[in-house]
Amino acid sequence: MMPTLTRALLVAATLGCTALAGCGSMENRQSETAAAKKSDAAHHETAGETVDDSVVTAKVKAKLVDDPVTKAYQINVETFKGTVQLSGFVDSADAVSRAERLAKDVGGVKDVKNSLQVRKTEG
Amino acid sequence: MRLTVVCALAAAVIALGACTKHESAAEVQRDVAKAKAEGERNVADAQADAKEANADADRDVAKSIADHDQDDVAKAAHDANETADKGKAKIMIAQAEAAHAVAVEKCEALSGAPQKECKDDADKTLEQRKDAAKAEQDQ
Repeated sequence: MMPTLTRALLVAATLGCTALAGCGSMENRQSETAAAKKSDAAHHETAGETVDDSVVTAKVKAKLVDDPVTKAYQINVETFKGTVQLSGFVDSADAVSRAERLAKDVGGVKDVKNSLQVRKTEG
Repeated sequence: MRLTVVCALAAAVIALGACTKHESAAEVQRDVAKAKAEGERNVADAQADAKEANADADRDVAKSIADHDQDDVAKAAHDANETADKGKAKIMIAQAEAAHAVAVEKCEALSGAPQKECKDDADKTLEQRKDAAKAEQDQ
């Protein structure tokens, strides 16, 4: 028969180990969440930046629609932290460079990634 | 008769003297510095005005986006681009006028025909730069 004191110590030690293990996994989870948030923040925008970027996108779209050459094409415009990405198909290299120049001219645009492609006509 | 001719000649000499008169180097330097400072102030004012107008226009675009009104977004964005072009043109004009004022003051160091030619060149450059600013606004 185990003495009462020893049994009590064993129970306390078991409970302590369980609690520590729980704490450890909680800490891990918390640090994992913090790391995930940090990584998320590096790849996503803040609310303020999103508003600015949507304004930039709207202004670039308006500029392209107002231009006699680029208005003829369906050009996709996306903005991330002031960098505008243009994509879609146009009929000439001139239209590609014109769209890029127009986008660069818009206030708030820091850079333009031009992914526009010239559509090759058959025949 | 002789007196009239003498008076006319004297008047012509005085008038020509006034035309060809040039300022001292110190005067020119002082006036150039003054024109430069005033020009810089005007350019800074134009830049500040443009910045404020652009911020207002951008706020209108953001509001339209928040209201999910696509037609309004397109119009506000178009207006914002126009505001930006106008602001750029005003800054270009302020810069052109500032440079013109300095150039004209520098011409004061010359006299006679070279001074006139110098001022004519400055005027011509100003007009060219104003035309460029107008083209920027109209594009």
